[in-house]
Amino acid sequence: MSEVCGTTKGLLSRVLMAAAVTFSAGAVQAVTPFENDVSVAIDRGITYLATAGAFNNPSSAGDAAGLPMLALLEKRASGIATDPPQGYTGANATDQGRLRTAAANILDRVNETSFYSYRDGAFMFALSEYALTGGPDKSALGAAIAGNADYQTIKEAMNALVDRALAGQDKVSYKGYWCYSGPGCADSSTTQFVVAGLAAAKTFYSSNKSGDGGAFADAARVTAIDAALALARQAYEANAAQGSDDGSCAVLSSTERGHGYNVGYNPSLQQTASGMYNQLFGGSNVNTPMVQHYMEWLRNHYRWQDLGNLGNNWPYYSWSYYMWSSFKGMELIRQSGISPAAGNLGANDLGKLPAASAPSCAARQVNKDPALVTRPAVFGAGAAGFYNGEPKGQYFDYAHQILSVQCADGRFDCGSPGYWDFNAHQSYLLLVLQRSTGGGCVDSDGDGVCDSEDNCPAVANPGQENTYGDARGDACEPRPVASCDVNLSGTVDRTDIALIRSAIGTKVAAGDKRDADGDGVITVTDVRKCTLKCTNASCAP
Amino acid sequence: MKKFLGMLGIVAAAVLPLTSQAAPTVFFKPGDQSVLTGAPVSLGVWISGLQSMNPSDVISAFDLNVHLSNTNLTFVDAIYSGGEPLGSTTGPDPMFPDAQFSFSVVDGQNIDVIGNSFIVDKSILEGLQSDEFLLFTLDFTAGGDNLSTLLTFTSDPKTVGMNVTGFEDYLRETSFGNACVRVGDTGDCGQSVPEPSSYALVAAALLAAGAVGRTRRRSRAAA
Repeated sequence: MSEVCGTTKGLLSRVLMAAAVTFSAGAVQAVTPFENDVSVAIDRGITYLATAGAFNNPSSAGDAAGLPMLALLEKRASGIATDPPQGYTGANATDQGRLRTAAANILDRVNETSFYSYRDGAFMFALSEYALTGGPDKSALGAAIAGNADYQTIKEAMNALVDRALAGQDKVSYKGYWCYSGPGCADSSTTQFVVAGLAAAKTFYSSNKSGDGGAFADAARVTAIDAALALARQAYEANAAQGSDDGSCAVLSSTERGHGYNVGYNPSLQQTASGMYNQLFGGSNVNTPMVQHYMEWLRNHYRWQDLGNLGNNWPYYSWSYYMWSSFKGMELIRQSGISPAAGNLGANDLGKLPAASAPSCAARQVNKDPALVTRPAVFGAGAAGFYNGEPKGQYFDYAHQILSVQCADGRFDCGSPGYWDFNAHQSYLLLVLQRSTGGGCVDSDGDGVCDSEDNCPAVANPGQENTYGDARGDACEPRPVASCDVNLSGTVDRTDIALIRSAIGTKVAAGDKRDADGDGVITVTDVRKCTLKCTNASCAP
Repeated sequence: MKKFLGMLGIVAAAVLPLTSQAAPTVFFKPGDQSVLTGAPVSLGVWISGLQSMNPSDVISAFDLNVHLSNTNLTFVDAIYSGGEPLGSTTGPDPMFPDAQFSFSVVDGQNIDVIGNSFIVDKSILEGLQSDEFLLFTLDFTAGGDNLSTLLTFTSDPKTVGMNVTGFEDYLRETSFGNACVRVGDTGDCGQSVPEPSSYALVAAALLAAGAVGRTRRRSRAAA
């Protein structure tokens, strides 16, 4: 859930924007036939989970309960890419009720359990997103938690989940990995869940929100999480490998690298995909060499239909997880605002290399053509071309394929897609339709502001200065921006203010550090604007 | 229909001044005074209507160039308001006072007065300011008899002399008043000196008249 990052201002503002659009009929963006079907699929899928009891306390999803809760939080009003996830605040009364019960389930269970990678990872990203989008805390949950004496506040539960996850990371034998219930193996399947949960927890602790347990902000835990995620990234870099279980697509280039289920396994689609986002959460970006190596492996082995023979021993079971993890990784790159360097692969390069093209791989698929595919019958009649006009690419490939396996009752279980756990499978596919990134914070420039919130994601600007108040921060502003640090001391203080004040009336060239409003002349308004940028209280040096 | 709209506009122009909120106005007080030759003359420079549109509006800086139509008034001093609306120029920390105030006399007929605040907490400025308050006082000595001086706010040669800054940006809709100082009995500034409320009435009427004009133009275009 990319919008929940830092202060969640992006999500909230987008929720408000969406509300404004709703009330302004003239400004409503047209919904395409495909977007409409995606929206229907999401609604049906959520309804099925609700009917099955996935949002109950206790949840029918058991240890996977965080996944359906995340899917409910990320539900969108339509399939439009720019629509915001509903979060808690944007949900209708029915969904808010479901979310409260789902949250109560987590607050109730954390204190009754010990560390378990899959469950705790999902609990962390679901609870974090719930809290940051206005979900009520223990004191306001009321009937949802009545009768439970040991439930915790949101912050208590997050602290417990994070602390036991940090303690559970292997720091000796399989450095950087998490096994099922702590150290002890180099399992990529368990590790990626903890990484996703901790990345969302970083968002939680970076926020300015609060709950029953006080302010969520916790710099010490952010630092500890960063260290753990960096360690995991290093593990994925160290254990990157060549090859695949499909002999015809084994080694397609000297530079491609992937990741398998465990050390010594061939790379698989699902573990390479999650390994890529693990590296992004650990501080890498699209131009980091190892990320490029992973992207190359994914590009060379691209599939949307199933895993073929590219999923280690479990291609049948792992498709839906691959769909979410691989989409999430690419979506994180898309949101980072960092363009691939010349010659590097980008997030939109998947599916453009035909199977017969070098390096050839018979299992590789290309992008679906929206002008040629038919509408899945469960959504109504629609011959080839019904979705004509949709952008060609990874999202259409995945989403159309997911629609094609949805049954009339909302289950993604028609066409034998296969899965480990049905609730998780159902949720993964919903999350792809919702373009979810799982609430994790990728901070590409390391300035403490998540990419999705950062007004200049590729350049460190922790203060998010924005002279012109537009979408780009000063650090990315193509127009001249005054820094106010006239004497280049590294701070803005009274010395600078005096220099600006003494220059009132002076006409200056574009980019002059004294011209805070960029109007070409120094005025008392520039004095004031720079006063507001003073580094220290009272503009003291 | 067009006639009806036109009449409606005229009625609106007549009614609006009674209900419209005043924009910020910087003005002299008193706006018109008679003094004797050699007497001290004191004019306050005030701002009003600051909070009429938004109760939390404040000013944080100003740069005002006061132009005298002749040299019959001799400048003595410019004194920051005792109410210290931008904060204290001497405290609370003498090393880093809350505000700065300065002036310069360019050629005997132009007095440039600048004030700016270091207070970055808007609520503190709100507490120091009201809807109408004194910015500073200008002191002069009256010159020869039967001669009057018109004081106006003008842009100085650097075109930055009529600048009132809100919390962080220009107050672009600020209007400015004049003052007349008559020395002796027969001096005449040659023009009336409206009070701030008159400015508001005129501005609102002009706005209404403009609206009528636009309505008429649209009507013609649609016809």
